[in-house]
Amino acid sequence: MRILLIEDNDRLRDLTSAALRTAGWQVDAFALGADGLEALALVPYDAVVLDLGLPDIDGLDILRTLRGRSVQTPVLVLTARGAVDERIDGLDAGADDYLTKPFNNGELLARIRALLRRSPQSVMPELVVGNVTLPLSGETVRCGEIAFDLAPRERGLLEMLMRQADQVVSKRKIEHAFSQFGDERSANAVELSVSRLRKKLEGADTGFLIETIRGVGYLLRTAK
Amino acid sequence: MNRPLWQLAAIRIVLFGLLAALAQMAVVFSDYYFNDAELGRLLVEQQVDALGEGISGAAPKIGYTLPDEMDDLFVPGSGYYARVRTPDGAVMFSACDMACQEHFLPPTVQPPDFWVRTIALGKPLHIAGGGTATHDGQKLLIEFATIGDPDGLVWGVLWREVLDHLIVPMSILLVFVIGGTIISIRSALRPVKAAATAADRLDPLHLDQGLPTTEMPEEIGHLTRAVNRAFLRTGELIRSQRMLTSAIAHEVRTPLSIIKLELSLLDHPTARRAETQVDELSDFVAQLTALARLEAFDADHFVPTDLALLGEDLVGVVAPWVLERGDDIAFEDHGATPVTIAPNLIRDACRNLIENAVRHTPPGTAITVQSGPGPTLRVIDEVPENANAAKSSEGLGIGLSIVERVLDLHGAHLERVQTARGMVVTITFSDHPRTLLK
Repeated sequence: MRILLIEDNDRLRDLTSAALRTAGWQVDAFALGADGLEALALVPYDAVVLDLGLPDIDGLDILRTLRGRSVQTPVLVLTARGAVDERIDGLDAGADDYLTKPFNNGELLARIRALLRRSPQSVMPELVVGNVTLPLSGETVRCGEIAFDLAPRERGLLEMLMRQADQVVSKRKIEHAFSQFGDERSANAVELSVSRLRKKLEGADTGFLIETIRGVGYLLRTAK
Repeated sequence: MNRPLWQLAAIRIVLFGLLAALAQMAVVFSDYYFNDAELGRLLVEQQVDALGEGISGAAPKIGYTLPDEMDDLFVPGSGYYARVRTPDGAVMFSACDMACQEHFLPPTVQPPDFWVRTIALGKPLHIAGGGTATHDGQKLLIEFATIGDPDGLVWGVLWREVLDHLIVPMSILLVFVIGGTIISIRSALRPVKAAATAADRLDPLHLDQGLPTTEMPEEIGHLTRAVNRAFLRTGELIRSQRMLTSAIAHEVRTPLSIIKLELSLLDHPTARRAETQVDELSDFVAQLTALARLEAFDADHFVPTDLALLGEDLVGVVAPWVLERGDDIAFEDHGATPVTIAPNLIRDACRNLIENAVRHTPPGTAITVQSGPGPTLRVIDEVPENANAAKSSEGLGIGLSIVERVLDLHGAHLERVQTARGMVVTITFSDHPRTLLK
């Protein structure tokens, strides 16, 4: 995985780069937006971490230029502004997610992993959350030596939750996904599938929990 | 209690009117009372008119009967005398003895239209006089005399003068002056009232809108323009303070990120404690930014909103953080009605309430966000049974300022009720958000 980092503050750029490298990714880091855009034109990055407040070009303009070139690389925006409307502006301009400063290593890495998992362009052969590996090729889901025998709906549900680990997936969204498979009993089917999935994962050291957020949906919560 | 200006003006006009009437009365009284000749003339004139009421019949059979109210006046020895006769000397009525006849005109004298003769100078009045009255073409001479005015008829004369020349014209004048004044004041103050209503609705963060100054009386317009200039200066001050706060909050975020990342590289308990403190500082900076953000708020941000969707979305966003802190969170819809709100601000306010509930309760607290019934949102926290439920309603700090400011913009009402196991905070939205009334 190769990640582009555009951040003008030298120390923050060094620390962030180090954190990304420790996670096992290759990192190209630039202080100026123009340099970052040039690099993007040359290298097919897997993800971009972009600071909005750059000295030469506004981060939002970089995003628009990127999307204007039809580059679909997932972009995580770093913002010191934090206002909801500014986040929405960022998302409107083509950002895939945002992270408000100040942030810590854990948050940054989790967001990038989530982006990589969610990305339709993802070239990852498998999803890995905690100790569980879900091969996207359709092979058996594993946790270490343990193989789980999951029904297609349970596997689909686990994939949705793993792609959005540490974020709540609404029950409505899961129901919608289930109904696309022609299952009209989706409301009960979701609860049934979650219950069965939990039972099958029970006992294994998955490194995460599937929590029910009553009235909203489900949360795959990784152990911190 | 403050009275309306028109009432004050009316009261003062009446008061000064009465003072003027008293002064005028003193002038009238001195004019007449110390002028015996004029007073005598008026007394004769009044009595001739009163005696004239007794003429009746038609020519040539014209008769005379003394008016009933004068029966007691013209009795022998009363000091009052009267006689009514024709120009040729035929007496129709007489309350006059031989002694008095010498005060009247001899019957053979062709009567003048009016005459007065002072019998003795000074008071009490000793006076005689008469005048002619015409009834059905017939001329009659009516004569009146008094020796000493024992019944004080002169006071009636004075009263009549005061009534005719003072009370009646001044009352009419007062009615018109008060009416005109009230109409003028009310019409002049109408724009002032409009300005006061505008001042009530003035958003403290948008003081530059100012108060309307059109159609105001010059003096009040001058005051209003001065108030508007003061508002502008205050608005600029608030804006610059907020900009400073926002800039500080913004500039401090990057160094805070660096500190957090540097600390994460240190494997020491002190570093973990410092991280917690940095997190608290970060929260404070976030709150400052949120508060500064309210300044940029615009009424256009109000949109019809489904509180159930807002509540569900919010719970979805905060749930990972709440669970990480060891609490639980759920959402329930109890039939919320649609409201017109600025959803981002309400989300911020509710988020503050949830974060407050999490921070001030022991682990294991169950937090429930409820939408409805009606235009309400509730944040309920319930601590575990064996935990201490004592939780102060204070401690929201700057968060409370944000919540209060957001709800104030919405004309919404916040109610906090302490329960046996926690706290129920209810936001009730108004049908007419304050900001939309502008």
